[in-house]
Amino acid sequence: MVAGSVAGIGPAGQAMVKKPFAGYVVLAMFSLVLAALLPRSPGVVVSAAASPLYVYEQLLGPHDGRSCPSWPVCSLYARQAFGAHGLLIGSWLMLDRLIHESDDVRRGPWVLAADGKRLYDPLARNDFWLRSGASGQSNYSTHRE
Amino acid sequence: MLSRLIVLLFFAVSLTGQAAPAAADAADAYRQAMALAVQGRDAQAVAMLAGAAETAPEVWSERMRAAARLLTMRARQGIELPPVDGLNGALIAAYGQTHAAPTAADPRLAGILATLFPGAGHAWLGRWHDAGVAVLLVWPILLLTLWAWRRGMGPLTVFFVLLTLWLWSGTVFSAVSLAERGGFEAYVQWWQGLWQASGLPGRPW
Repeated sequence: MVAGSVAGIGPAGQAMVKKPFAGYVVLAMFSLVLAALLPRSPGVVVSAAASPLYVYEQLLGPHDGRSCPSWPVCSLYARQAFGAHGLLIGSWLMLDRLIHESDDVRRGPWVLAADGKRLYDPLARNDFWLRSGASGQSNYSTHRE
Repeated sequence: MLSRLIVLLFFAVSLTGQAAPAAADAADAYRQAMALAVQGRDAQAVAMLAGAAETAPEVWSERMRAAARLLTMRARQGIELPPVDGLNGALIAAYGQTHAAPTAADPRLAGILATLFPGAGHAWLGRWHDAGVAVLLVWPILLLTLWAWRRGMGPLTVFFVLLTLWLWSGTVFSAVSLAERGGFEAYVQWWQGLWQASGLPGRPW
């Protein structure tokens, strides 16, 4: 058998070798069909970058309980990061939020949201240094308690 | 005699009537400058304070010059205390003697450490829980990538390599970002303490 391929017997009895990429193509088509069947709000454009977030917010989030202790919640934060900085830096900011939550929930600052106390961690708190010359002009305040 | 007294009273009332609006105008200009600074428009606030200080009464003029220097210092993230006259200057100097300016962690060093070993940058910043998360994010996928590489898994190996690169670079970005944020927030807290200690009215944040 050729490594990375699948061998079999065809209808006419000839040896048949399936290319490994065929499986990926089928998977991609299945994903597109699944994405098309997802519920969509009128007027809401779900971009390719934000579609996993959309799936999380619509399908998983309601059953996930209060998994994000921060304000804004992680999916909204990620959406804002994608919108402000594009796919790569936006995804890094999303990862950064997931990483730094671990220590921040022990330090604050806190804000009182509608559903209780949350860690105050807006995008401006973490991306101010990406905007050149904006650090001194940032109106982000560290006193939110 | 009575007429002279009436004339004197008239002048006294006129003078107090002129002095009060001047102080009120100065206070109003000061408040507007603080409102601009709250919005992060420090340069405009400084310009307003500098202009208003020329015509304001002495007390307000002194306050406005002190406030303009402190706002300029914040915009540059300077740590040298500005030369300020009067009581505000004395209070600023006293704060500077008891509160040393914070030293920020070098974001480049945090980035280099995180590049060499995922999680090391966060650990160097003293964020040990974050370092643990960074390790858990990168190392399992990295080991999986090496395993797939040794097994010659083709496209799956490429997928794991890309995933590892993304996660690894994400932890480097996070270490740099947290170093930047930590330095900035420490500076802002120190500067806000300086402002409050200076005795200046209002607060520009």
